[in-house]
Amino acid sequence: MLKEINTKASKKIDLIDTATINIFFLLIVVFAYGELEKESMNFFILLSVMIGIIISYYTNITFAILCSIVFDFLYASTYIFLNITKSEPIKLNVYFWMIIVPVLMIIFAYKGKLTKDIQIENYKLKQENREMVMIDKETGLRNAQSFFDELQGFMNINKRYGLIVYLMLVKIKYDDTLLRIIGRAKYDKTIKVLSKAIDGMLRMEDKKYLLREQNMFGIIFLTQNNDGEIVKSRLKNIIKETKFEEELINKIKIEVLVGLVQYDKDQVNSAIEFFEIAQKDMEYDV
Amino acid sequence: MLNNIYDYLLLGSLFAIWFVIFINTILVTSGFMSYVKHYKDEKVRILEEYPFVSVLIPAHNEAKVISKTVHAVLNLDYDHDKYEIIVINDNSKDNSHEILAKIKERYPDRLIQIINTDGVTGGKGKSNALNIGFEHSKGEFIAIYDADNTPEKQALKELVYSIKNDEQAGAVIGKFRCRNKNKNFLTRCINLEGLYFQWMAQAGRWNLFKLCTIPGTNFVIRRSILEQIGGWDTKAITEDTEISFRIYLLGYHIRFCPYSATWEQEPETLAVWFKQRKRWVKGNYYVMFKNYKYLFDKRAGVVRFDLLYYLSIYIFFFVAAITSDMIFILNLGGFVETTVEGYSLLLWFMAYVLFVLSVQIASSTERGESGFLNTGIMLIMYFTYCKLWAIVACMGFVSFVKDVFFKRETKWYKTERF
Repeated sequence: MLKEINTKASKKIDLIDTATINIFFLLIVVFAYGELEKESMNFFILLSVMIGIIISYYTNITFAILCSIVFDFLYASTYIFLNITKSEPIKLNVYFWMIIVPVLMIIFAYKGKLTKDIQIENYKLKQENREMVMIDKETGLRNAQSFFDELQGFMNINKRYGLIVYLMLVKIKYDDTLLRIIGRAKYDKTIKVLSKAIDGMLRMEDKKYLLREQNMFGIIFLTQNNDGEIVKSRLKNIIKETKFEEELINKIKIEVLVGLVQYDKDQVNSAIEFFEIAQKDMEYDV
Repeated sequence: MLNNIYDYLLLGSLFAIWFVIFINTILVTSGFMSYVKHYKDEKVRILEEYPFVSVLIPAHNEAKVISKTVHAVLNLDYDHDKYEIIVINDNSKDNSHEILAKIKERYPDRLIQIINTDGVTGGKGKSNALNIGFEHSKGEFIAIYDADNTPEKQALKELVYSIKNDEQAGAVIGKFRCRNKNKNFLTRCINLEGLYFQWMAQAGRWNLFKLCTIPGTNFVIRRSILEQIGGWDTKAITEDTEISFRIYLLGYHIRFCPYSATWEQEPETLAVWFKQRKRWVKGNYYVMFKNYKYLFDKRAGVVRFDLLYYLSIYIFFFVAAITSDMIFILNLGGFVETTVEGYSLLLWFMAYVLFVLSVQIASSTERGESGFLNTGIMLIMYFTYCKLWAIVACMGFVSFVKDVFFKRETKWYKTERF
């Protein structure tokens, strides 16, 4: 497993971290034994180094180098000026800072870049993963990803064979309030119970999906007659009669909003549009 | 404290060196700002209608590379009816003539003109060849590509977009990159030098003063300007720097466009490198002496910065470096006494560190250029490649003086191809 995650970027990060620890060790040793603490200027430079490191980490290598150039130029020029005017000696620490400042800034800018690369990669992978998963982990139901794929399939069946396609969206009334009262864990349990109740009234060939982002169920079914309304009222009754383990939920009395639309190939062009019309229909379920 | 004449000489020369470092630091900062500006600008760069452009390719004994170059220009992403290619095969002794004739035959529906000259009608250098090509051209804009170039597909489109959107731009220049950078140490150094020159000297000057110099290839210029100044100066051997000065004296500026790039072949041997760079140095001396009067002329505007820059590099820096080195050696030998040598080591160290960082910043702006190998080269480049420049500067100066004294004619100094 470890071997697998040893990618190029993580190897580089390991190398940079090792180098950083060593450089800081060197910095401490030089500061302690090189008598750098005797000059207040060195504390000022040390502070600049720390600020420079933070700036470098959050910007990029090019900017870090530019800051180093400006620092080195100003720092060396100051000492040249002091040497000419006040005959101040140029000690080894001047050379030390002129090297260590750019090195640390470049290293941290590079580390920042690698970390950002890894973060971006991680985000992309998660995104891709989410798009690939078709089943909701909690309920075992098909999720939004497969919902839209299959909805399009049903629309095509209608076009080809003339069977009537219904899309029914089911949402718990005042779901936000319910979630606040009973909490996420109990809410998920409630969803599971509701899901089972709905299953009981559906036929094998009817499809049921859990649309988590919209907090609703999506049901697609085919009929030969216009009996969608019958299914809708049956569903409402079943949910009304459902018993929950939690007494509190039974007291609240869960109700659902239902949006029901029959597919019309002349008016609906895409799965998204079909879904939006059903969502709109939900507003009339008062 | 300062005690004698040597102290003052040393101080003066060290100040001159410090001043050149100072200017370079400012250019690096400005170049970085230009880089950020260009890459944050995500505007779509497309014109509704593209103008007709004449692409001139001057060639002298270029049989090794000319076919690839013409094909690269033929493949440019630009409406085929909107540009003509004019190859000036200037007094070539190789088989360039046959190669070019075959290309023309192969693409009968493309606008290609091949102009062959001999020792009588041509053979008087790149400027003269460009003038001949210009006479045959009909484009509203003239683009120039050297005979060893491989322009990127969108190179011309980007240049034309820039010049069409800037009325004050007399010319627009793109970038050049080194195609054979991996060949050897020399080409790697030239590659880094090119990156530094473009991002810091060109982009840096552009951002500060709207000032650039034409690099001799991958640029477009307005036909009206060439007509106004009577084409290229046939006496100048670095015709690009010379024409840049004249564009600025007319009140136009030269725009830098980093979105357009061409790849060229750089010298692979020291002998060829010396010959090419000697020509550049000599050409710059020519431009400097021809135009130094403008240094005190307000009408010359930003051109004065360039003159000052050339003067500071080719005269002051050069004299200062020699003076300080001489005093240092004499001091070591006990012939003279100085009291201010303490900071000269720091100055040298600063020059070295800033040089490495400046090249590093330039290479970090181009994809694939910042790596351990290039960093290593930068660290030793200062002691090797850069020292060669000092020799070239001397050789160029001597050659320039000789030319002036003996009134020698300028010849076509052509860079050998590989």
